[in-house]
Amino acid sequence: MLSLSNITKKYGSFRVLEGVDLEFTRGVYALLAPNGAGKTTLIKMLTTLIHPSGGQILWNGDDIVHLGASYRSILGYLPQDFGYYKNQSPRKFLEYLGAVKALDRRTAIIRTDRLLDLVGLSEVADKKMRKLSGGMIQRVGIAQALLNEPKVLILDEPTAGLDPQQRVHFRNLIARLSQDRIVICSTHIVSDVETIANHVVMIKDGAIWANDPPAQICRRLEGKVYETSDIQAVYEPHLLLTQRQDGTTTVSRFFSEADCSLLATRVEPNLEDVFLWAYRDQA
Amino acid sequence: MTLSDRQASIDYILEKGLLTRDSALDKARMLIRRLGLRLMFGDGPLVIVFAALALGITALVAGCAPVEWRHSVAVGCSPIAFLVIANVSEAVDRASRVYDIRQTCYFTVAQVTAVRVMCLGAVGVFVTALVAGLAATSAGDFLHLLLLAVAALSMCAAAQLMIVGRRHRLALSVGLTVVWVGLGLGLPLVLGLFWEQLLASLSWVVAVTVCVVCAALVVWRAIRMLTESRYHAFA
Ligand SMILES: Nc1ncnc2c1ncn2[C@@H]1O[C@H](COP(=O)(O)OP(=O)(O)OP(=O)(O)O)[C@@H](O)[C@H]1O
Ligand SMILES: [Mg+2]
Repeated sequence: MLSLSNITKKYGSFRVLEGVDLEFTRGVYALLAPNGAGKTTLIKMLTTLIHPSGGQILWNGDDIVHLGASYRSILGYLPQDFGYYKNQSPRKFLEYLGAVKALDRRTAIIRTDRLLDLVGLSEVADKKMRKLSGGMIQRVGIAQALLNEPKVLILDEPTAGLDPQQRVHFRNLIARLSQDRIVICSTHIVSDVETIANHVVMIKDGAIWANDPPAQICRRLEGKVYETSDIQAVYEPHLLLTQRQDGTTTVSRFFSEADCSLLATRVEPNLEDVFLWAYRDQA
Repeated sequence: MTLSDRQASIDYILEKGLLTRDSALDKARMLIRRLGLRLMFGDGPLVIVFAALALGITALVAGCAPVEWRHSVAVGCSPIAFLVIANVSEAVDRASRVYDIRQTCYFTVAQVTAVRVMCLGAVGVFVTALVAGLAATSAGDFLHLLLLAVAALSMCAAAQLMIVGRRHRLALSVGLTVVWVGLGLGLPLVLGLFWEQLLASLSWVVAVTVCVVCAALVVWRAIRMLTESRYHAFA
């Protein structure tokens, strides 16, 4: 179990996170928050890349900084803007990282083969990486994070740049992997979260705003989300959430504390609604 | 210790298991076995080209320099190959933002650096022997030159490891190379034969002391980097 107690992070006098308490057990945790909320900062602390200004991060009761190599050996990490050697092939790159992850050569070769197959890159395995597309590089990154069969898998915006097919593929992969490990993934893509996450962690103003299963988070807006084709019906203090085209009419979706069932149709809230509502004052 | 304290300690240990840390030597050995020389020195032609260049220049200077300047040459030239190879492989290691991934792996960048500098230092002693051999006039002279050269090398190795252990200091360690080359050329030019005579008259006691102190510094620093006692990830 990975747990954070009273974590604070400041850059100079700028406070990014304050008093964060979290516990990660088995399953997929999605960090869902707008740009600049501190997702990457939180992830970098979990990967020991930066240190908290206050508080402790414990793996099974031991400080991860003190555990050092024994913590890193159960850690898989995909950074948000992940770097690679442009002139290396995916296979070379993975074998190299395998060695740095202290796998013996045979194991590194076997796992590299298997992982390249898993992320659908067997065909370009020996091409130089500077000739690969952005989505392919992202898949090399995902494969890389899985090399040491990590118990804690941390992915910073893993689905950025993936096509729909790969995205689905990735979701299935994560669902399978999360059976017996902790998967922490940051994202802004709400549809990814709804399908794979067991828990959604939302950060607001440097604190944890929500840490619940998706369905439970949606319940916060139960009965307060409406749809109407009459945009005039959406006025202050209603909060306009989204608009979509339905044939020739524009359907507006909005939030209201007051009962609007005479003007509009009450609908089931989804995560996107909650996201827009939660961060309404941070346009 | 009371009986209940004793029982509590035993329970604690049984619950946690005994956490044994690998010693620095174990870790270094494992690192060399897993990475091999090829991966340790930045897999690619860049390091090889620079190494060949540096060694070539070193041999040329040591072979062609006038005999009356041999002490300045030994001190100035012998660490250059070490510095060049160490910095180029360091730069390759830290290039293209691979650093973040590397730093979360079992062996961190700093740990590879520690082992690399130690290996390079050991190889560097042979290079200094070559330099001293090319420049020396007699067996006794060779020994004196060798001592001076090894002292210079160990000073550079210690400075290199002290500087480059932390993340944003690559520029500083490249600076070290530039400064060393600058001094190696500049001091003889500015001070003239005075500098040469100063080096020639340096007693072997001083040279040995410098060697021992710097080597100890290198080993101490490398052990810290490998066992992560306080600097752990050197992020
Ligand atoms: N090294 C740094 N020095 C100063 N401020 C920083 C530093 N890194 C991040 N910040 C600030 O911390 C805040 C959180 O940044 P972070 O990268 O964690 O956001 P994020 O949630 O990952 O955003 P995104 O969705 O854009 O990736 C931002 O306001 C950012 O400007
Ligand atoms: Mg981020």
